[in-house]
Amino acid sequence: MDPSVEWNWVLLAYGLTYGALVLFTTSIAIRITKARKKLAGSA
Amino acid sequence: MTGFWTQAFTITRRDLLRERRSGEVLWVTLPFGAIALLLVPLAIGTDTRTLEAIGLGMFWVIVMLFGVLIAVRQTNTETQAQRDQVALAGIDPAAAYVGRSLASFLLLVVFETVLVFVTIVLYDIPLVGFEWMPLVILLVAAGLSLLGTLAAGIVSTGRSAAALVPLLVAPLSVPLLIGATQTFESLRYGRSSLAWILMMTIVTLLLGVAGVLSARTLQETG
Amino acid sequence: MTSPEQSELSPSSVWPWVVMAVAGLVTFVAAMSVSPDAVQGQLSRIMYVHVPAAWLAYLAFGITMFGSAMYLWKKSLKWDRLAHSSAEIGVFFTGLAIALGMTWAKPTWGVWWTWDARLTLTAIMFFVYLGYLALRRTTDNLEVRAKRASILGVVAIIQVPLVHFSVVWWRSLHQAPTIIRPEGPDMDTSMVVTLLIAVASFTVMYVAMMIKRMELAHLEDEITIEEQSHQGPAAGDAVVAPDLAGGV
Repeated sequence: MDPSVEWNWVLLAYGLTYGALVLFTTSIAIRITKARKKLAGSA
Repeated sequence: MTGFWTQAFTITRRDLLRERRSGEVLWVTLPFGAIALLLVPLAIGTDTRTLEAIGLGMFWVIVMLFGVLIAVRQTNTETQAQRDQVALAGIDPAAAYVGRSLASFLLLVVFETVLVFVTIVLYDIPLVGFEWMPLVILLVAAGLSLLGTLAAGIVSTGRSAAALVPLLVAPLSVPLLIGATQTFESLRYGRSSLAWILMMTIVTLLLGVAGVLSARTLQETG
Repeated sequence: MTSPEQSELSPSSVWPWVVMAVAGLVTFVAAMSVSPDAVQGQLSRIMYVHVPAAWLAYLAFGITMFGSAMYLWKKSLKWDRLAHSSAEIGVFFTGLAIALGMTWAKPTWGVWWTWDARLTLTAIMFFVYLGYLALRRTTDNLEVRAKRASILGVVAIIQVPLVHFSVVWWRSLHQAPTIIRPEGPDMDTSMVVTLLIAVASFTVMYVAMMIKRMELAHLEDEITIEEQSHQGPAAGDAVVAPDLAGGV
């Protein structure tokens, strides 16, 4: 297989990995912030 | 209170009586399964050889997916008050679990037996190794009823309970599905199917143990 | 019933985020600097994220089982939070491992999916734990939720070896497709070392993610307790949530 084609697949895989990781960790961070705000508001 | 099995059979009788009144399995789930078997050839084509090849597999898939609906009946019909009453009557939760499973088991045996004839007729499948069919039907019914009742017990009466049980049961029923289909696949190629039968038996026993052990813990949750 | 412990919430720490970023960076640099496999070419680089993701999926579900069993034994909600957090992260990495496996399989074998035993098992596990997460959403009562989830967490993992066994056996009956697995014993030393580095950094990343996810689980539990103390019966009561039958 042509190395440039191979690189495209590698790029896709790493884009997928790091994209998903960023999204998932951001979602945790956002949920933490929201939860803390909610707790602070109700206390 | 009376012995374990007396309690279990009381629950079984109650469940079967309820089924006789509502006819849910016999007049709703069973026709639903039969029409699923009718829909498949409409979608994939009516080539006799294709149907012959996929017939038995389709039968087992439909048993797994629709059979869950039989085990899940109680989640739909039983209210929290009814559960509390069973608990207050001093019924051993494990006995209730066994009794419920037994009722589902009997209904599943009927369900599978009728559908296997529908499959034979519609798909014209070769009856190779069908002397094993009664045993496999019993094993699948036992495994699926124990698993379904356990899942229904875990989900209990929470939100979207009836929709959730099939999702919990389907992936965990894979050993039963593979065991049932491969029993006949091996017989077709002249191989022994004892290993598959044994595997389904082990799965069923483990599910029974898990269900009985978790029953008491689950009842505390109300 | 035990009452939910009202332990003090520590202020949110930043270092787990830093650890995650560093671990991700280490993996990336290691995977990009190693020389490519002779047969697989550049595609072998996918292995350095695919294998760690799959490893974390299994590790996370193992931790879920551990947390579930510990909850059933100790009845402390912190074990339930461990099980829950690990299950969510596990589902994430299972999905990632499957997606990465597909992007590797397509250029290598020409198909997105093969009915390889391990692949099938991973897909089944994905759905088992999706069901686990769905089960947790069916009630607001913390104890009830924890108990139901723990039983499922334990039962599910008992079934996993059986599923695995049956699937492997099912594959061996059919003609298994000949698969060139690059992680064979003939793998180059530098590749083995890189893979180990990737697995180790992903594991560190998992730990950091768990710390943050458990902090979130703790906050969510606190919110639930807070809400229920406003509308429920007297404080200190068994905190029975209104089991909103029929859904809201």
